[in-house]
This record gives sequence, structure tokens and C-alpha cells, in this order.
Amino acid sequence: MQENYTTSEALSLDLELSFTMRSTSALRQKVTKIFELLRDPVYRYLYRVLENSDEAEDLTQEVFLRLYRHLHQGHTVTNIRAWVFRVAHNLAIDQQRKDTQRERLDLSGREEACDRGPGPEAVALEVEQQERLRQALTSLSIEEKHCLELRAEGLSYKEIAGILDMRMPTLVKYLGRIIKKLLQETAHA
Amino acid sequence: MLSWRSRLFRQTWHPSLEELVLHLDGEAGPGMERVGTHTKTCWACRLRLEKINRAVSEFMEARNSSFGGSSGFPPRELPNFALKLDRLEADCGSPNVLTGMLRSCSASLSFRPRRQPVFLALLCLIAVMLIRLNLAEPVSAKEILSRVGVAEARQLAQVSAPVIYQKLRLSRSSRNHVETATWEIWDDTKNHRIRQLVKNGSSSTRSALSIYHGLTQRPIPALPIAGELGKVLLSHGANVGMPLSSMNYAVWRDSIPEPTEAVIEGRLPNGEKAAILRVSGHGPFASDDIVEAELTVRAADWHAIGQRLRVQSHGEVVDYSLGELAFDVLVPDRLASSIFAEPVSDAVQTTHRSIEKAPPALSRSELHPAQPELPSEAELAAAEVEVWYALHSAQACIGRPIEVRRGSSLVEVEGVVDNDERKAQVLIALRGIPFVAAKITSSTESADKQGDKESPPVLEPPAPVDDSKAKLPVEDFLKRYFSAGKCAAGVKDAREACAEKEIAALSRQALAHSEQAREQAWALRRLAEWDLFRRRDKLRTSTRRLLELMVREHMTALRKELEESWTQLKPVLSLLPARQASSPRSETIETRDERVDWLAASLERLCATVDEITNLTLSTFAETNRPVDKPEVAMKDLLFKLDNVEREFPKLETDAAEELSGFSKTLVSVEKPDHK
Repeated sequence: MQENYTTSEALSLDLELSFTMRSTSALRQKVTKIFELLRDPVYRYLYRVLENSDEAEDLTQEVFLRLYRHLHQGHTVTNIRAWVFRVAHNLAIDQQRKDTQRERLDLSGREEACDRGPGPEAVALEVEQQERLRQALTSLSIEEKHCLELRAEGLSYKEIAGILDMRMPTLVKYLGRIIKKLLQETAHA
Repeated sequence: MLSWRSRLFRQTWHPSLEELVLHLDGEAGPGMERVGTHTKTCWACRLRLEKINRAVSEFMEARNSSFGGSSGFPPRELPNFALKLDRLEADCGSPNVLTGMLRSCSASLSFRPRRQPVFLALLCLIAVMLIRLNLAEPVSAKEILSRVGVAEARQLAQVSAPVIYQKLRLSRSSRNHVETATWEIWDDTKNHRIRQLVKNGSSSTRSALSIYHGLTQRPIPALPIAGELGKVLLSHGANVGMPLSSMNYAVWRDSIPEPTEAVIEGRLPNGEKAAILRVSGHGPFASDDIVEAELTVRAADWHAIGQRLRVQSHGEVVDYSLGELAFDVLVPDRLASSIFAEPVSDAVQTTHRSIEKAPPALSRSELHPAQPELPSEAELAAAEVEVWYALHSAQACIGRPIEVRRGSSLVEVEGVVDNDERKAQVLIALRGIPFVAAKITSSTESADKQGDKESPPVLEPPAPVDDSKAKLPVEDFLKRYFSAGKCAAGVKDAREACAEKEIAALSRQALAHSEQAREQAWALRRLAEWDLFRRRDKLRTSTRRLLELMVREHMTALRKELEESWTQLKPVLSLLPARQASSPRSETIETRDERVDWLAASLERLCATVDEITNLTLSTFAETNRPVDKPEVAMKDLLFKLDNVEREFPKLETDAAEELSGFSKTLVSVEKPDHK
């Protein structure tokens, strides 16, 4: 479940980052590098919580533009990855609040994925799995889904707690509750 | 033996769901090792752990498969992001360094309260250190005099039996009269000979020359102004051979009854630090008594460079002021023999009783014979650099340059300036520099001369300019830029008017800055191409310092102009798409070829780049009937070159400063050039 980020290119995502340089080109270079490293997990996270690829694309870009603006104003980022996900999370929450009538995930794509199966049995299994997933998803609140997705993106509990603005013990209990729900749903299925 | 309670506890304790989740995710926490150990032995918990793992994995796998085609950010959106970043970069401009530093300081204080006391303590410590550093230690006049004395002795010790050469500007001011003169003194300390040359400040024609011999008595200069001061010096037992010296100040100090003394820290006109010693007494004063004395000492090398004496005369106080124009410690053997030559005529004014022989009267040409003895190569070089620096100080080195030529015995300065006022300014700047022949004419004088010779040329009327076609090559692009940004608000007409106004302002400023940058670059190139610049390691330390000052000042001015251009044009130009496609490769300004003078080569290269920037600015931001073929390409090139200069300039500036000041350091110990 853990995913390793490429941090070998002289950019540690856990380190403090601040820009006190005069040149905007250096700042741009840094932000572009961070974008290259984190755009996929951020996009994935946003896509899964928003269930809309267009919105996820826009918001992913917005996250990194905000990072540029933030650093340009002379602020310091203590943990880049946590900061980026926190902004993504906040943007997603705002988006979800706005999209009362948002378009649900296009199932046609999933159907195409199902069609790749070798035969009717596999298709049936896939459909069954989708059904279980849907049930599990409906049982989870938006915040719980966010929490689970952040965990899936390999963020540490400390980072998740920072993003969701919780204390660590609360987060542990919260995650326990989510797992309990998942266990119940899978048991019912 | 475990107690029954422990055994019971061990049998009944199982990790909670949260603890299992924490263990599963590898999160460190208290008791996690115990969970690990427990799950190894407790099959129920192990089963539970596997269930959790399976449930989460299944959920995530299902999620992954449902989002199968969307594992990452779509590449088609990458250019879009780059464009958005471009816009943002253009809107934001350059980051504010100061704000950034303040914010990071305040953030570190507000988010880490435990660091506050440490930070404050550090701040206090720095403040105390700064205060201690800035607080001038109370230095007594005696100590300063002792340092000056040591420095003088060290200079004299470098040469055995030295001849001390001083060239001073002397001025005498009384209630209703001010008089100035130049006073040159060669003091042969071994043979107790002093040669003096006093020139009246108002005209170079009137001069007097004396040579004296004597051990105990010193001569009084012939010209009245210096003669008066000479009498004062002698009456107080001061040294006439070195009127501007710490020894003489000590004499004044001792001669003043009930002295009040002060040490003042000041700055010289060139910005160097100086210490001013001032001593004054309480009246009544008799005639020739010293009322007040002042000595100005350059703090960098503790060298006395100015002295002021207020002397009680008949019914008034006369102010004598001595300022050093030149100082050198010379080797007697290599000194021109004519300086201490025997008299050749009786046109000498002598007033002193201790003269053993009648002093010689040497003409100026004998003092500085044209071939081959006087002036020496080093003197001419020094004079030439002084001329360049004087022109630089009068800002006559930019714009229409004034030509400086080296003759066999003189430095010739020739050029045309705008008007008579400017001519006077340039001549004043050149005043006092030896071996200089200046021929500066104003435009009106030049025109008069031309008019005398020939009738004025009939000027053809200029070809009419088709205003309807004249527009900026990049006008359409700029209109789009301003209409979408600053001038986005309002109705269409107002938007257009606003955009036109912004375009006019931008092009005006861009052209002005690039022209000024070019002027500074050309002045730098003249310096770099100058023969003496390439032989700078052979110049005297003081001469090299002038050279360094000129280069530094031109580079600072050039940097300022380029920064202005960069700040104004960067937000606009950076919006151009697909920069990388047509941008030339990165160019380095600084070159370190050992075979050539790297600094001169680097400066010439910088100037070439600035030339290109100016040409590109003119071709894109100036109204023309013949616009460039590809304005976008020109703008990209301009952006690239500005970026390049912005990146390379600070390093070149630092290296140039190091190179030029480095010479000063390394050559301090080298023997001074011969003075013939």
C-alpha cells in the first residue's frame, strides 16, 4: 500500500522548503520539480475523492500553483508532501461542497475495464466486486473516504493527521472506525 | 515466576483494532512491539489482522480497478499547467527577499514557541555584538599620532636614504582674500637637501624654485603664500621639508597653551574612513601663534592627507590649509639629477641665512626634461589614469567620449563638449593633474571655427515618415497582454486607451534603460580595451585603485539599468509560449582563458551582450516603419539574453572586484617604480 516517491533528485519532500532567492526562475524550477514528483499521487487522490477527472485535473494544477504563490510570498513549507496533500484535501472538500449536483463517476470506463476480462465468470466477479465497493463506499462519509485515500497514497499517520487537522490519537480511532466499517461491509457481502 | 495476575493478563490481553491497524501500517508507537510479539503467538489476533489486511486490500484493489485508466495526471494537461505557471510568474514578479526572510522568522517564532527564548537570546547577542562593533573605541589623539608616525616610519624604511616627495595644494584664507598654490617638495633626508617648487594656483606661468642645503635649518619657500607658512613652520620649530606630517601636528599641539583636543571620525570625498584630530587653544594670542590645528588622517593606512592651521596674524586669523595631491618615497640614486642640480642662473629667490650655496634656478624643462628622463613611464601612466578618473568623475566618459592620448612627455586630452559650462566642468576636473595638456572645446566654439572655415552645409529636409504604418513590432502582442491584465476592466474604448498608454510607458522605459545600459557598457569596453587596463599589474597601487573604482562604478550602474529592464520586461516577455524551441543555448559571459586577460575579455563580452540587448529592445519596442520579421523570436531572444545577463552578472562583478582589489593586495610589497 505504501508508495515510494522519487526523492533522489536533490529534493527531499519531507524537508523544510523556503525561497529567499531573487530569481523567479529558480522558484519556478523548484515548483516544477515538485509538480513532477507529486502530480500523480495528488491527481489520483483528487480523482478518487471527487470521482471526476476534469475536476481532479484542474484542482491538481491549482494545488501546485498555490504552492508557487505561497513560496513566492516568502512563506516556508515545513513538509512539502503534507502541505500539498493538505491543500488538495481542502480544495476537494470545497469542491464537494459546491458540487451538490456533481456528475457521478462515469461507469462506462469501468465497464470497459470489465470487458477486458477473459470471460463471463470474470465479468460476473468484477461486477460483484463493484457492487461490494459501492456498498462500502456509501457506508463511508466524505471525510472517511479522504482519510482512506490519503492512507492509500502512502502518507504517514502524522501527515494525515496534519492534513485532516486532527490529533494523532483521534486519527487512530478514526481509522479504526473506518476499518471496522469496511470489515462489516465485506462480511455482509 | 510470574504472578497469577500477570499470567491472567497475558492470557486475556489482545490488541485493539486500532493497535492492529497501527501495527499493520508499520506506524511506530508505544506498545507496538508487544503487538508484534502477540500476533506471532495468538492465532485469533493473527486472523483478525489478516482480515483487516484483506478487507483494506480488497477495497483498494477494487478502487484501483474502477479507476483503472487514471493512475496518473494526464500528460496532455502538462502544457496547460506550464502556461498557468507562466501567467502566475508574470503576475507575481520577483519574490520579495525581505518579506520572505521576515515571514520565515515570524513563522519559526509562532509555530515553535519553545524556540522563542533561544531566538530572542540570539537576537540580543547579535545586537550587543553589533553595538560593540559599531561603537567606536575611544582613541586618543596621541595614539592616532603614534600610529601615523609608525606608518610614516614604515614607509621610509622601505627605501634606504629616501627622498620624500610631497605635492600639496596650499590655500590661504584671510578675512578678505583667498589664495591657492601647488607646493612640491623633494626632501633628500640623507643629504639634507630640499628642493621646492611652488606654483601659483591662478596661473601656471608664475613659479619659483629654490634649492637649499643645510642640516639644522630648513628653507622657506620663495612664493609669498608658501613663504608665510614656511615662516610659521620655522618659528615653531616644525619641519618645512614635510609640512604635512604627524610630527608637525605634534609640534602645533605642544605649542598651543591650554589646548582642547578632539578626535572626530569622518569620511573622505571618496568614501574612505578618516580620523580628524583637532586641537585649539584659548586666547589671547600673539602674532604667529597657532590658534587651532587640524590633521586629517586616512584610516585605511594611517596616512596624513590634510592639515589645517589657523594662525594669529595682525588683527586677524589666517587659515592655512594643506591637502595632499601626491606622496611618494623615492630612491635617490634613480632620481633625476636635475632635481638637485646646481644653479645655472641667478634668478633664484633666496631668503634664508643658512644657505651654503646659491640655489640653482632650473627651468621647468630641466625639472621634467622631455627626453628621456622626465616624466617617467610610471608618472605618465599615473597621470593618464588620473585623467581617466577625472573624466569619469565628471561623467565625461559616457556619451560623446573625450579622447585621451599619451604623448612622449604629456598626456593629451582632447574633445568637444556640449557647452561652455560643461567645458568648465571638465577643465576643473582635470586641474591639478601633472603632465596634462587639455584641449577641450565646446560645441559652439567648434561651430564657430567651422563657420570661419566653410559655409554651413545645406541640410536636406528629412524624408517624411509614414505615421500610419509606424507602430511597435510587438504592439499587437502588448495590446493582448495589457487588455487581459492591467486594462481588463471597463468598456472597450477605455480598455484600448489604457492599453495604449501602458504600451507607450513600457516602450519608453525599456528604450531609456537599454540606452543607458549601452552607454555604461561602452564606457566599460573603453576601459577594457585601454592599454593600461591590460597592464594594470604594472601600475602603482594608488593608480590601480582608481582603475578599480572606475570599473566598479560602471558595473554597478550597468547592473542597475539591466535590472530595471529585466524587472519591466520579464513579466511581459515570459508569457511567450514555447520558449525552449527557439531559444539559443546558454551563453557564459565570463571567460577564463589563461592566455588572455580574462577580465578584459569578460568585460568586452558583457558589453557585446548589452549591445545585443539594446539592439533587440530597439527592434521590438521602438516605433519603426521597418519592423523585424519575427518579433516573437526577437522578444524570446531578448528575454533569454536578459535572463542570461541577470544570472551571470553578479559572479562577474564579484570576480572583477576580487581581481582588481587582489592586485592591490599582492603588489603592496613590490618596490615602487623609479621616479625620474
